[in-house]
Amino acid sequence: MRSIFSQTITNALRQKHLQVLAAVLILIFALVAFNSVVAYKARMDSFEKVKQAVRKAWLNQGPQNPHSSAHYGHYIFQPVDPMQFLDNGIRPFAGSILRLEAHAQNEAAFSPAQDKTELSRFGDMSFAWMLQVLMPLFIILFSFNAVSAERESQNLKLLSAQGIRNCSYLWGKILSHYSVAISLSLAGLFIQLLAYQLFVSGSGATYFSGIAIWFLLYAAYLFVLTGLSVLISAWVKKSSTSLVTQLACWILLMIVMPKITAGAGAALYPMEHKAVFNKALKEDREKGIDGHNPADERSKMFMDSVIAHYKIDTNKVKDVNAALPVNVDGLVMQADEEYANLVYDKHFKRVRDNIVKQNSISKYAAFINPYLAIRNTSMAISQSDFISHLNLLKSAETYRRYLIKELNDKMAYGGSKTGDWDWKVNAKFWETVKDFTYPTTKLSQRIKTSGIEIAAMLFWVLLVTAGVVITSKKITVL
Amino acid sequence: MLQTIFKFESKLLIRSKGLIAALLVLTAIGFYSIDQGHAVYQYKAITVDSAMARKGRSYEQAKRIFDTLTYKTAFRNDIEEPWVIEWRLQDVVAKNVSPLSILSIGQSDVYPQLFSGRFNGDYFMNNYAEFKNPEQLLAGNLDTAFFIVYLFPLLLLALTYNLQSADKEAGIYPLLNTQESNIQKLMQYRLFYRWLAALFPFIITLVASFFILSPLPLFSFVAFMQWWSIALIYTIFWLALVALVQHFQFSSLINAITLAGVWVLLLIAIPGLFNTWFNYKYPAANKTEIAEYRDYNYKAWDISLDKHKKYLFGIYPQLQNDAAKLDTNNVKSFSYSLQVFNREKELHTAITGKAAEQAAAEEKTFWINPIGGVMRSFATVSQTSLNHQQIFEKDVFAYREKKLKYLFEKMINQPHFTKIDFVEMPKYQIKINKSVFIVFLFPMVLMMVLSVLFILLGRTQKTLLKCFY
Repeated sequence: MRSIFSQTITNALRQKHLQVLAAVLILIFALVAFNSVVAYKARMDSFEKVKQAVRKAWLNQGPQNPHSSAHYGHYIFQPVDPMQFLDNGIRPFAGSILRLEAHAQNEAAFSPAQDKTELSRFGDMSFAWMLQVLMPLFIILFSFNAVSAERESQNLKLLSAQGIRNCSYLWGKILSHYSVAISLSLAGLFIQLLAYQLFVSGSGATYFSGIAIWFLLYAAYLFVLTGLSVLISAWVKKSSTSLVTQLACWILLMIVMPKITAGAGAALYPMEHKAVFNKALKEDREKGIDGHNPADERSKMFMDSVIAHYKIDTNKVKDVNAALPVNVDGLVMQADEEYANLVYDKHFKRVRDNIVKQNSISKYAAFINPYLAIRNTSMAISQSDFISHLNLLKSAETYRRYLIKELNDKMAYGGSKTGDWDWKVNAKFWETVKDFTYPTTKLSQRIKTSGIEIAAMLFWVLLVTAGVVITSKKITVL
Repeated sequence: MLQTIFKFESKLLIRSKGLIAALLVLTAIGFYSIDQGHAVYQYKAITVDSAMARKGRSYEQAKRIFDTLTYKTAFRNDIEEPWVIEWRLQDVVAKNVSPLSILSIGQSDVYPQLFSGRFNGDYFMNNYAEFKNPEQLLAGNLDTAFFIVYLFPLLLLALTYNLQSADKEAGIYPLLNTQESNIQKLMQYRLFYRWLAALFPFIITLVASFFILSPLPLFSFVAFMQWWSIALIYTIFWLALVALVQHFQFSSLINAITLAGVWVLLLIAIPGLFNTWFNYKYPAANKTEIAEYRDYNYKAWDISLDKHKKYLFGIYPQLQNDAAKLDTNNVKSFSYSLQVFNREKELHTAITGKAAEQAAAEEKTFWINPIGGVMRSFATVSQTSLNHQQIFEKDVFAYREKKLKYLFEKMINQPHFTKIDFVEMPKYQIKINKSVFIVFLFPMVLMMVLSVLFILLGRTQKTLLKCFY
């Protein structure tokens, strides 16, 4: 096996077309690194700037009625994680700005893709995309004739006559081709990290374990693909047939199948229309208390309960509102919010669960297509998958509820009287409201979310290993 | 000779189980692509239809209120106020769903289909935007345009990579060369036959798409034929490329590598690199302005009355003559609405302007990225391009502005907003924008012509050399 390995490596290094291909690949890695640095820096700067601007606007509201401020609301922006430098995932297609305000739970709006033309669907070259799509192509061009060329040139006969075991021969071929592919990929990773360290910041060390695991999974992916390429080369008789077959498999697995699985998800779990969603939401909300309508039957009942709670005798007291130590408007609005939260939870859960179900098709299809396994895992580790987006939405909603409760409580217990909508809080009050903390997910949690895909990758590694054992028994030298 | 070659090639094709299977699989993918496009079309059509039905119901309800409205006092009824009218009407505007979007969905699955038609309907808080699955958008759709652009060249490649070389490698070529007939012509006919064979799944798809698209509203046979003509030109482009590669008479392996390399270059590498470049050169519009817009909206009302007047009279100088008679609140609300609307429009113009700049820059690169030109042509004919979306959005702004001015002019100039005023309110008309697409195909046609010229020149050179020696 060692002699096969060294001989293949020597041959590979001598081949001019491979040298050119490797040089082109390194050049593209450098271009991608440059693009990623520029894009990442721009996103990071913009994110930091806008985050601070929104907080500043909040703090500088001046004297204001708390409920006006609740309508003024807050903005949450799509955060930037250093791992997204390697894999941008769904970020271009997810909403980039989310408005938090009283009475309504909004969806994140304005995806970056919304400003792009149809040509953006040709794909953007990130390092992850290069490893997922372009490296397999390099592997195919490098390995498609790994065995078939030796069969065509009768070398296989000579090797067989020398007593080399088929199994050792195949492993030698796979490992030699794999070592070239992994070396190039490592060089690519080094270029990306170097660019990050030089131009972004020196915080890369914090993400070492994340990057290490991320790359380890890619190493497994590239092993699977190299193994499959060499095995196909062993199964077919002619190199040209091997190339055409492998190219067909490449387009099927990398280009066609992801679209088919996404389409199947949408067909099996159709997305609810916004009109249907809004109607159901409205119907449920109408069953609750209306925070802005004191004439509402439930609001009246609520008012009565507050009067009873504070033991106010309405027959004796002239002005009930003045007699109450609280502003009932604030309490009613909070009651409205709490009821609305239940309604929003119910309806948004249904829609989001449906999206998760849609995505589960490509999750399980990872057992048929290793590309889907690595794509999903890579996005999950880089926090650029749908689950990470969902975590942001959930955290934002938790914050919205905290924010509105703070404002309603201030309205209720801050010293104002019921019906006094002109009452304003001191400008310093805004500082007591905490700012939103963008969520971060632990690496172990990120890995856990893609358990199925990691299992699928292991399955593929085992399948290739089994394929080598079976093929070595059936391989023909002619 | 043509008939004999076609018979021979047909026999070869029928005997090749692998190729028959490939043709059938591709035909199935063709049907799937139409089905996928149709599903997206139906979703959009339902979205638009239900929104229009709701809008119709709201209009009828508001009309009934105006039918029975009495104007007894000098004060206006609530329903006569511009905001209340708009709230009652729940106006929504929709982009027409082109039947050809079934064939090329393009980026239209990302663009919003509905917008509020209210003068105060915030573009940046589009509550009509449908839910999207970002992972699904990332994967994209397997529509007919994708099917043709990506899969046709691969099928042609598989059918033709060993057209001449297989005979050479099998030792038949010298025999063919001794035949009376011109071997080059023979190869041309064989190539032509295989190109026709590669067209088989696409012709089936064309026929199927016609039966599915033709009964749909707004179907245009001319546009349909334009779409398929683009597809035909694209297939001829690949025929010319294959003929060019065959012209060099490489071995089967080199042919396969060359053609696969060209495919990767034209469909993956060049468009990918250009996208990367464009993302760097034209980053997505900065959304910080949207947060600033909220602040603007909140502060616009609180400016002094003098500033409100200055703003309003700047747009309506004729109102200045009767300034003393004007209701202060009306002046404030008209000025506030105009300020907020104009700021919103300004931001929208800035955002769409950046995107339009990128689209224009992309068009210049079609000379290096001809496949981009094909995709743009498909999107243009199907009305799913960014340009169509931007025209629609600009129309929405124009409509909202017209309505804003209509409602507030009535409010400021008349004591009451009457039933006639209500009926005569501006209404949104769906516009079908036809854009030119031929220019996007010029680079590809030029490459095609150059390939043919190169082949012809090569042949002439060979003939001349034969004459001399």
